[in-house]
Amino acid sequence: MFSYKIVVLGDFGVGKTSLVRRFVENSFDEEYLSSIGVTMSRKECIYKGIKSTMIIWDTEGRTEHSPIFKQYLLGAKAFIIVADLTRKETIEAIKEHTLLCQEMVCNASIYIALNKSDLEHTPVEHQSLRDLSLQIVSVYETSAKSGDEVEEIFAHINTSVVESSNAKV
Amino acid sequence: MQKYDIASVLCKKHKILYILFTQEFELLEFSDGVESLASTAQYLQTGKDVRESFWEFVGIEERLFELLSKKEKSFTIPVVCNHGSYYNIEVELFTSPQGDICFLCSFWKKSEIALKYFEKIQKLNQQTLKLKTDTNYANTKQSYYDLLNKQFISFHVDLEGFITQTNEMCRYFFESDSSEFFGKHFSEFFHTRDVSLKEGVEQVLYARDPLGVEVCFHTNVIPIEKEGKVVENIILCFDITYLKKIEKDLEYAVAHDSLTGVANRTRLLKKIDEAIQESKTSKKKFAICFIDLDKFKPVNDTFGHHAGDMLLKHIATLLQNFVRESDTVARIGGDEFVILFKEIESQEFLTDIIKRLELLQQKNPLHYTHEDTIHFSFSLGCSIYPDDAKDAKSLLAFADQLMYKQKKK
Repeated sequence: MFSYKIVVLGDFGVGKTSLVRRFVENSFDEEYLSSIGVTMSRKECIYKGIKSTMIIWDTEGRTEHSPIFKQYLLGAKAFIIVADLTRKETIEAIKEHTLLCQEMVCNASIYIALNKSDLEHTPVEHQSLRDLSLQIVSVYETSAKSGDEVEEIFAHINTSVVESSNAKV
Repeated sequence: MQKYDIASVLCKKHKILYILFTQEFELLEFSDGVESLASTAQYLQTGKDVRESFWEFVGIEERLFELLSKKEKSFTIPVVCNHGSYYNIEVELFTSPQGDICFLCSFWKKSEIALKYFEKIQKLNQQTLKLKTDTNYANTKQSYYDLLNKQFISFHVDLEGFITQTNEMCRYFFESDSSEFFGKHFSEFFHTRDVSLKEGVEQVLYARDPLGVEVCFHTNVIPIEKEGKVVENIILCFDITYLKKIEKDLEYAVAHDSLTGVANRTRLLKKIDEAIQESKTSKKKFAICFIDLDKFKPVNDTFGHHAGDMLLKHIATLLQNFVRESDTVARIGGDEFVILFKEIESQEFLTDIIKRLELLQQKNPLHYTHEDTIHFSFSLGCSIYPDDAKDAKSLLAFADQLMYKQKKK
């Protein structure tokens, strides 16, 4: 079966682990437990009858005293940069995370998940985020808590990866 | 001759596990216990694709092939969390005795201290998020920095290195008030080779707490600028004592016999080379004494390997107690010991030492249990530098031959 790697990154506390858990296990926990290092999960996907295995690297959130380890990003077919809709500074940090992704893998697509859409927040203009890089494919407003747009963002990634790998064949 | 698998002892001691796989990702070999770190142990079998059990290797194929092209010697994936364990993964090339090139991947489990540090960081992040999501964020920003302040030792110094400010953790560590630091040079509290603290220069500081325990810190120097000029530096200290301990353990293991704790062959050869250099200047002679236990195999056969090991340890201790501080005792094979006697005054002096050495075997049997006393004897041969040979290997060979002649008798 065709296997590939994707990396989920972003500032700390934006809900990266919750997004992955919602997608892989369809569960959610209100309690915030900060991740350390990187944890890998696996999800089998099907698109137009083609089976594939997505290996998801859930990375430790960036803080002021701990940057993201660049090594985690290598070899990814796609990135999900997660930000918290209720914390402006995490949305501002998307630019920096995008640059990092571009630096490490120049041809991987980038997806943006503006998470915690179930909470009260100021609307965010998607186009300005897309304009940050040509590698940014799409911006989603997700909620790991309700499950909104979670399946969609991962399905979009799988579709693109499978189609581009078929195109290469 | 019994062999001791030092690599496996070191791997166990420092919690290192490994796997070996081909360029086609076929699993060739893996150490005991590695299944606990596999993403799924179900496919952990030799001959299987390593990526089925270790998801870390999905997507990094290009990186592995960079190793083959010798662009890099190794690469590391730091702090991987799996089934509650934290470890670093290090991948490098391995060439088998048959010349096959494959990938050796070692898993370095994080120490208890590192895990405690991670827990601290986790708690810090959790508290920080709580503060950041607080509606009154502006007022809580200071609290956020205060939280950071509580985790690490930090102090401010002026451009000459005199302390202007200390944080709570620093005062707690030294059990001192702010006034006891103010105006004093930081080197009164922290010992270092280079007393100039500069941004971007890796520096290690040592400090003793009031109980006398030495702690080793890695520092970050953060300059504070005013009107474009650096006026002060903040020194942030990270405790790396556990890393230093591992370093020392490894250095010790490389030079010593893991069973008896005496020097190994590598260290002995180095010591002999040093003695040769010293002798060239001082014109004083030194001697090598090759000792081989008689009938050691029957000890193992009669009492078991544990008794054999105990006997070797017993003899190593006897020899260590027998020699002078400047001499070196080494174990270079199963039941072979060598003593380097430095600065022997005369042939008579050496003859006298050998006589006393021979008495050791008669007077000091090993009392293995209440019922079992193990007697031992050994054969020995000596060589003298520079009379018998001019280099370490020839000196050892000369002494070995004499020992062999004595054994035959």
